[in-house]
Amino acid sequence: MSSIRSVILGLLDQSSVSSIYKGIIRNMLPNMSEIQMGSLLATLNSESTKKQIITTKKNMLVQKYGFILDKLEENSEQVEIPYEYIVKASKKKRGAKTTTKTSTSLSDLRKQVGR
Amino acid sequence: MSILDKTLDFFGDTSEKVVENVVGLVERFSNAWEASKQGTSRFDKIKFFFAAFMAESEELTKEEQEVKDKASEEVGKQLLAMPDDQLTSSLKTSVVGDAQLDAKHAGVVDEVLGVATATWRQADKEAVENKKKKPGVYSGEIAKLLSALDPANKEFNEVDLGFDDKLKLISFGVKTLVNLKKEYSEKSEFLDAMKLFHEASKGGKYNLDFFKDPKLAEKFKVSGLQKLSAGKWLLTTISPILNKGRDEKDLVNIMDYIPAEDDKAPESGNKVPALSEISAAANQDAKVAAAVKHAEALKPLFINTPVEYADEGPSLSKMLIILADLQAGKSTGDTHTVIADLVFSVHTDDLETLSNRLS
Repeated sequence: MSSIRSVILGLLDQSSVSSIYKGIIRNMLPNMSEIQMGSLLATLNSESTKKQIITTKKNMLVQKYGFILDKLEENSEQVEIPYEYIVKASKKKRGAKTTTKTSTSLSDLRKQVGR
Repeated sequence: MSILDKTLDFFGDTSEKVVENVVGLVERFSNAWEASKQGTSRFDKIKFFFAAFMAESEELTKEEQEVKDKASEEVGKQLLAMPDDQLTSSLKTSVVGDAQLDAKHAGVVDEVLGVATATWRQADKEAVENKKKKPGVYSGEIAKLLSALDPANKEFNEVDLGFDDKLKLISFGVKTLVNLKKEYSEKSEFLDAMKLFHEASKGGKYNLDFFKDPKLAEKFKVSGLQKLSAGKWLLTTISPILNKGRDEKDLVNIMDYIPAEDDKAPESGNKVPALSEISAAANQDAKVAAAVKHAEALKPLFINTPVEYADEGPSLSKMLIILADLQAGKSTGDTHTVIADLVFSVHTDDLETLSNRLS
C-alpha cells in the first residue's frame, strides 16, 4: 500500500465525516488517481489540524477557568470581573429576550390560523 | 439536563483527557457556586465567570461543528466530482460484499446503483439551485443521516430522528424510487429488477431487507399512521404535499372542520366520516377499512386535478395501507414486492411532488 494511501486511511479513521463516506472512500481508494488522493489528503489533513487546535483551545479554557477558580477560592475580594465577561453576560440576556419575542410571534400566528 | 451534562454537550465528542478536565472544572464551579450563595458579591462573581466559561465553551463547540461540516462538505464535493463508474463500483462493494454475481444480477446492480448515484448528484444540485446550499452540503447531510441509520451503527438504537430529518430522508428515498420507476416504467419490469437487486445484496452490508425491519420503521414513526388514523395522517402529512393550490391555513381550517361536522358535506360534495368512526371500529381490520374510507373521501379535497391511476394499479389508500403495515411490522411478502407495490400505488407525478415538497 502506498504511503499516501495509508496516511489517508489513518486520517479517515479519525475524521468526523459520515461512515457512508468513509465506506465509499475505503472501497474507492485503490482505484483513485494521484490527484484525487491529493485533494482528499488535503481535506482530511486540514480537518485533523483544525481539530487539534480546537482540542488545545479546550485545554487552555479549562486551565484559564481553573486558575480563576483557584483565585476565587483563595480570596474572592481580590478577583475583578473583566469587562468582556460583563459584555458576554449581557449579550446572553439580550438573546433570551429575542427568544421570547419569537415565541410570541409564533403564538400570534397560531391564533391567526385558529389553532 | 444538569450543568455538567450541558457543558459536556457543548464540548461534544472529544478526547478523554479533555472530558476529564471539563468534568473536574464543572464540579469545582458547582461547589463554588453552592458555597458562594452565602455572600452576594462572591456569588455574583462565580455567576459571571461561569456564564463566561459556558459562552466560551459554546463558541468552541460551534467552531468544532464548523470544522466537521466543512470536512463533510469538501469530501462530499470531491466524491460528487468522481466519475460515475468509480462511484458505482465503490457502492457495489458495500452493497454486494464479496458475492460473485452472474451477468444478469451484476447488470441490474450496476443499473440500480447508477440511478442511486445520479439521484445523489441530482439532489445535491437541486439543493444548490433551490435552497442556495453550497455544493456538497446536502450530500453531507443525507450521508450523515444514512450513516446514523446504518444497521452496523453501534448507536442505532439511540438515534432519534428529528421531524426535518425524517422529511429529508423520505424526500431523498422517494426521489430515488421515482428515478428507478422512470428506469423501469412497467411494474413487472420494476419488480424483476428489485428482485434481482434484492438477491444480489443478500450478503452485502446494506441488505434491502432492512427496508422492512421494524427497527427502521420505528425511526420513522408517524403517530397518526401508527394509530391507523389514516384520514388524519392524510390531512396532516400527505395532503399538504399533494395539495395543489391550497395553503397551510386552509388545511388547518379543514382539519378543524371535518371531525366536528360529521354530516356536513365539504365543498367537494363528499360526505366525510368522522375520525371517531375509525377509533370506534371493532378491530384492526375494521379500523383500516374506516381509515381508508376516510382517506378516499378526503382525497378529492386536496388533489385538485385528480390523477387517473387506471394504468398504475390502485390509489393513495393502497399506499397508506402499505405504510401502515410497514410501521406496524405487519408487512408480509418479499421486500422487493412491498417496494414495487408502494412505488406503483401512486402516480409518478404525485411521488415527485411529494419528494419536492418534503425536501
